[in-house]
Amino acid sequence: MITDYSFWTIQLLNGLQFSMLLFLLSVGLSIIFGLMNFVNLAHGSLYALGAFTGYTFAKLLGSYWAAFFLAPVAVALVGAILYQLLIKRMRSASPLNQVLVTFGLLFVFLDVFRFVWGDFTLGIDTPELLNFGFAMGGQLYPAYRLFIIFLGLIIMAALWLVLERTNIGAMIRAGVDNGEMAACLGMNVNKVFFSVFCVGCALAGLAGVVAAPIFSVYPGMGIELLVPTLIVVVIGGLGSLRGVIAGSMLVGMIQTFGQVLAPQVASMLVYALLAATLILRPQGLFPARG
Amino acid sequence: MLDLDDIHSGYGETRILHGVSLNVAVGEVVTILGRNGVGKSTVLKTIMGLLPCLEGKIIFDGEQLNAAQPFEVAARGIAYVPETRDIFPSLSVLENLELPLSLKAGRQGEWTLERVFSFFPHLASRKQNGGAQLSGGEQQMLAIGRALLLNPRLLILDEPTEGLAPIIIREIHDKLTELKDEGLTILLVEQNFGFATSLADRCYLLGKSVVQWSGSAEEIKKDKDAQHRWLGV
Repeated sequence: MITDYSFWTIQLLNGLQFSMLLFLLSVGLSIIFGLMNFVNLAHGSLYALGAFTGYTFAKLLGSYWAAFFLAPVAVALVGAILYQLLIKRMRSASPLNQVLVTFGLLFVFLDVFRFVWGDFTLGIDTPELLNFGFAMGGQLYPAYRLFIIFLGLIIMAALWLVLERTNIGAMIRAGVDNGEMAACLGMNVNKVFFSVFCVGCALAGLAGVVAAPIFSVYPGMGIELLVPTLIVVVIGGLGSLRGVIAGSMLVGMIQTFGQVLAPQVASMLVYALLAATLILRPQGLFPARG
Repeated sequence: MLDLDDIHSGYGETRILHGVSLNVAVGEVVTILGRNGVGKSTVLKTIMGLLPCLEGKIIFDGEQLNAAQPFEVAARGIAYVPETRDIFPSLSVLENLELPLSLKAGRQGEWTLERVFSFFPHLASRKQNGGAQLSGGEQQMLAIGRALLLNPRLLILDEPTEGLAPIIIREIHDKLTELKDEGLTILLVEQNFGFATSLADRCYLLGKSVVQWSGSAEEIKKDKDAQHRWLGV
């Protein structure tokens, strides 16, 4: 099996697809982290919220694509409310307090999910449009997984264009580099923070609704994916798009190939990578602030 | 134009300024001199709203600025060039200059990108360079150019000569003199006594967290006693 060409292709695609989900989830967290110096552990809950609201929208409206577009909007709205009520006040708090409060939020969300959607596993059907497969070495590789890879690449390219080639991107990069100086040149840093925060939440929600047809939807799904997401952010370096891309590729591939090639140590490999990064390059691979 | 009336300020629990009063009139160049660590930079940061004004009043053009946030201070027409220049390393030279323009906080005025590039021709040849790749002198020019693009009514500069070669200091001096001759109001913090007194109309000597001496640039050049006591020259 190890010499089988299609085996490697399938694992590579699986790895890419997991990397893209990690990317969607981490990019908001990392930029928010870099820009606001704010640790938002509740980001994981927003991913789960995307999956749950996606489930409800798909059920009510009878269309996965309606859910695909509405869930991120709903999550961004919840994020906006969260920001105005809580996170705005926590901005100047110490990192420990930020972590404690947003860690608490994870559990609040967990119970909200249980209360609203019940404590069991739900599923969304793969959209009909993509409910087919490509023949690959005697198996069918689901088109929906290729769609996730494709979507991830598009979002990556779009974010890169916005961040590197537009005035708004320059503002965000300036804010990550040095928020005080950006403010002295007339930037209402809080307004920029708020917008970036909402976009980050929407991307977490998008990751949730996109993941829902592959993984099942259950209350703890956000907490489970939070750890690899944080590892991506730390390995990549805070606040940089390049860092998030590199980090999510590394973690996604190592986790996927680890599970196939060395299942006994697979769960350790990512942590080993994290430890190695922290020892050899504590600022991450591509930190925004050199 | 700018009046500081008995301002107190500091970082957290530590107070650095204990009642500093000074004023700057339209078209004047005023400099704040003093030894290291007396709070010269703190005065500028408090004006910008980067540090809280705990007591006293900051009045600019008749309006109180005490609780204004930095972006509001910039919008009122005060541009700041910090001691560390604070060029954004992940932005190119051009993007650094475009930032105040795209933020639209400054006023419309005579300072445009073209004018900054003809004022500092050095920068024109480095448009696409990253902010992190500039020499100290180029960074200083970029920081001043970027501030000018806010079309400020008051330019405040924190130690623009620090760490620069004499030939670059002379160039910066010429440029600031040009700005002064055009009628721009400038508040300058300096350690370089010769640079400061040749540019300024008036000087304030800061010591022990308050203003110890004030007078014209001509007066301080002659007052060896004040120089010795508050500057250690």
